Amino acid sequence: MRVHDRPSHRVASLLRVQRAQLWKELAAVVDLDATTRPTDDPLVREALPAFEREALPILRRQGLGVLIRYARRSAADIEAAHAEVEQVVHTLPRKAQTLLNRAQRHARDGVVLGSRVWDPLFDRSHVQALVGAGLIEALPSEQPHPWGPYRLHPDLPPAPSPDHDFTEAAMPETDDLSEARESLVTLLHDLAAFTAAASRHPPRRTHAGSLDKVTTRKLGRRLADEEVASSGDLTHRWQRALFALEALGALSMDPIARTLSVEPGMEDTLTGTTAEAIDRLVHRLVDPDLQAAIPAVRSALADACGPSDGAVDELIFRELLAEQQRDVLHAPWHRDGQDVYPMSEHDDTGLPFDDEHFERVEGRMLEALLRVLDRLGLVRRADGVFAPTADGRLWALGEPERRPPVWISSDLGVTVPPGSITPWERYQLERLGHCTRRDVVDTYVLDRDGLAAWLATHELADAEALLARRCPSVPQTVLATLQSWAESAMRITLTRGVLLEA
Amino acid sequence: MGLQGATIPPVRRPRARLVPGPTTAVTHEGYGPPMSYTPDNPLIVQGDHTMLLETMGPRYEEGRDRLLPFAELVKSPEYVHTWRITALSLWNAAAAGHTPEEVVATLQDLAKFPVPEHIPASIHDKMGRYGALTLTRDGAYLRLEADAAARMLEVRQLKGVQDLLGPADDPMSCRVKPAKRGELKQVLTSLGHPVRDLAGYDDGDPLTMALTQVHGTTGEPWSLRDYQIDAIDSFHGGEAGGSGVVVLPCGAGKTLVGVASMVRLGMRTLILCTGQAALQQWKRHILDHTTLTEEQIGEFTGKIKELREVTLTTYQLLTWRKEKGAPPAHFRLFHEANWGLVIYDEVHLLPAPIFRETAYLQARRRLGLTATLVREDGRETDVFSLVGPKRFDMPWKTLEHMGWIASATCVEVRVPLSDEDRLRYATASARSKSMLAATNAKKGPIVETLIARHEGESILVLGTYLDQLEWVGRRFGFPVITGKTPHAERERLFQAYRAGDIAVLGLSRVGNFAIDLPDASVAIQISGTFGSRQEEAQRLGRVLRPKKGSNQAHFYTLVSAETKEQEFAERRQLFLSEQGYPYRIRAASSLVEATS
Repeated sequence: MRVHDRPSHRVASLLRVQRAQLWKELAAVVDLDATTRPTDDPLVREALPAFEREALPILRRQGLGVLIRYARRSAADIEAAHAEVEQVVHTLPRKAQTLLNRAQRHARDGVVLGSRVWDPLFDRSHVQALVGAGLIEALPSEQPHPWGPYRLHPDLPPAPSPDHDFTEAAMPETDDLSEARESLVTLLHDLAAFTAAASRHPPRRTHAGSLDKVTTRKLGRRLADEEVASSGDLTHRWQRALFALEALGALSMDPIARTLSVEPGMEDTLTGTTAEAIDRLVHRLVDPDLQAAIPAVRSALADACGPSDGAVDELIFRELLAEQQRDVLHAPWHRDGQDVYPMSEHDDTGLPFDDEHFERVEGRMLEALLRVLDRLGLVRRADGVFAPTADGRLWALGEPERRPPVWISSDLGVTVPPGSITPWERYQLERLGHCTRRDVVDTYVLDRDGLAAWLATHELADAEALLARRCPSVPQTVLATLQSWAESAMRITLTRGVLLEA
Repeated sequence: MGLQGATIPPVRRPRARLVPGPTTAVTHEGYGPPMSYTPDNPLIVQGDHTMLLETMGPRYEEGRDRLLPFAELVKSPEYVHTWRITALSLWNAAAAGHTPEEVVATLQDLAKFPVPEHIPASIHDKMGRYGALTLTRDGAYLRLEADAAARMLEVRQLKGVQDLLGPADDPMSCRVKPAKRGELKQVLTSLGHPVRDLAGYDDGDPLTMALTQVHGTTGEPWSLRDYQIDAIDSFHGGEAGGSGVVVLPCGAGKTLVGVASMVRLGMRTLILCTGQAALQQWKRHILDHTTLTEEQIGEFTGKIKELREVTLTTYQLLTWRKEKGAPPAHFRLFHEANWGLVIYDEVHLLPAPIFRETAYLQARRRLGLTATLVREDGRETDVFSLVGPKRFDMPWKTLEHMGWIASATCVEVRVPLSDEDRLRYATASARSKSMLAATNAKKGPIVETLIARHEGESILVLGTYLDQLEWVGRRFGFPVITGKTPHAERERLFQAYRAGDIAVLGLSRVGNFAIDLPDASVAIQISGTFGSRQEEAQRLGRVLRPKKGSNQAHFYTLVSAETKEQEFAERRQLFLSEQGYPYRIRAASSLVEATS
């Protein structure tokens, strides 16, 4: 069984109106027959390239706003796709499933190096089964397959978490642990704000490599940072966010205009709970060779935390990990009746895949991982011990039970106390409105332009759900205002990227 | 291996754990290091001196009452009210006898999150300045005294101050000419050095008058409300009593506070009003509630120049100039009589030139009346230094709760354009669009629906486009007052409306300004340019009067859906929501269905 091929499609743009009457309004201003063609739906016409090129500017000048939207898969479509793939996965032999899960743990941006996750000789048939099922795809590479890189199917269900138990490694905190670094959660929130702001006011790089002051000032106003808005220089917190985006490889620069833009995938990094966002960010920042061990460290922190402060004995942690998940960072190859570490295609002898070498190989890698997590502000360390910071505790244990509520009032103001929303929610809020003050609490005002930008990729119901999630009671006026803005914005819409059957 | 090669591990002790208190939670969420969070406390103090007061918690009312003496209410939508501490609000608090320690303790007691570190120091610094400089009388002169020689030295070196000070008698004091009293206070206050004026006042000509116990017009008994008495006591009391501002919301009876203050003082009084209609309102109040006769009350206006024991005039008249560049022709009014009291009605609208003249009136008692200390031109410190500090303040929510002002519901009714009008709107120019939206023919039936819904109540219909207003008036049979309506006819219609002979009255923009219509309970705005916040407040003030019966007022605004009018209406929505008025948006169709 394999994931079935889709029938061929073509990409088109669709022009939609709220009422048929609106075609007359449009026809009074532009030549609809020359720039669009009808469809089966009386409220929808297919927009030809000439529509965007010629008709849109005229409509805008006449005050007839057309909202540009981008087609997205619906939640139902996504769920159906996941279910389909999951069904295929379940038909595979257990060994193939194990290899697939391992590949998922080691993948970075959906791509994994084959030699890292399977024995190219011993597991060849299973790898072929995965390719045959359409679950992985060999990518062009100088390395022959199955050593080389593979892309994983985007709709794969998440790999099951390994069953860790590190309670034996838990110990009380000691007084020689290092100080916590700058908060990663703060960084996530700042990333959310910066990403949203940059999408509205992209900063420009000068030829010297710094940020242009004029565009940075606009960015500062959008960020509600008076210092940035007046000086044209990023303050430490926003500089840190910019560095983080660079480190994540999430920035691209237009070669002509030299404007910076943040990749759309940053939203995926921020999605979910704060703990999930931390986890995703850590996975993106940590060296790909080390990322497969991240869940183990997270489990250890969770077991150490319990109801009160605690720490992890590093030595015991490594011993337990070797017992419970020997292939955490490297999968063994079988050569001459022995398990050995992976080798290159030109190598004949491998290190024995035993406990002694776990300390020498994986031990050092785990040490490197803990150093990175220390720098990221998730753990504090001392000799042979590591303990969670406040952020690390959140990452390990999940969201706190008690959160301050968000307040939304009829004047469209949104008051966000610290700890009340996740980074993803902040990102959405920064798009739906604009920040007026960042202080002990942050204050926002929902605005029409923000909702219009939101509707480009989301539905109004998503915005209402977002607000209702954190606010005890959203005033009727606010909902009515959002609805009227949405109705106004969506009187006439042009949706790009719609897949039509060819 | 031996001991030499052994690594001796450091001595490790388990870390002492922080045990949170019973009402204190620790947020685990990053966004900064974990901070203590007390959920039941209602107040959040921001680093920029603004404060957010949560209204749903158990300590909201306590918080509001404790903030009022030293903070300004900026806006009050539901859930969260925004307050602000300014130098001026702290000086007002200091003038009323509050200390920085009390203020800081209040903040810390009410705060939900830790108060930013710099705030207490800022409060001490600002508040400590009030009282550091004192103005007292010294024979024919005045004396400016500082609490320290260093402060006097600092003051003497301030730009614009040197020429106002006389010779220094000692390191901590110097003489001041009486004529420079106001200007000195104004300059020092604007530079962050408020002056406590204890130099006293010159008494004006005595005037015998008393409050009556029954209305002069109807004969029905009346009496001052408790909060009005408190306001008058606050104005007259204390070491610097006799100058200051009373802040009361629209409809709370500020005029009576002014009248009663005048009676208590028993001296010749000059009253400055915002316009002719307000002037007539004052005159009616004085005649209705005091023993003064019409002959004792003078109007000093464009048409009449009566200088009497109690004289009413307008800001426009006082600032009128014969020609551009000439000085205001009627400022002499301030000096033509021996006034004991000068009352500034709606002092937040006091024109800038009058400030200058007020600087020369510092030896006279001065009372400012207003619903808000916030001025569009930002000259609040001039009000503080030249009229006086805030003496009394009562939030409208408290008065509403006590039943003294009506609670108002604001409803925006969205009226669709007809198909033909929609097409015309789509192809119209920007200017024509506004008019097409405002004069939407479909608004007429909605007016009819609302009038029918509120049958038996007193209704005002407000509009900007006169043709539309007059058409609606003819169609539904009610009189309309515009700028063209002769004054006598206007008064006749007002009187008939007050007497209940007319239930519905149309008003053009002339209706924005102060007129006394105590029984108006419904306002329907069919078109409007929406103007400034003062105009919005004034419009609401027309309906916010205590009503017999339910004490509920209604303010409807008709807005053409999906037009520029709807976009403009959002500004009104924001303002009214900020003020704390419940605001609803309804489709015209739902209104008609509900009524049919």
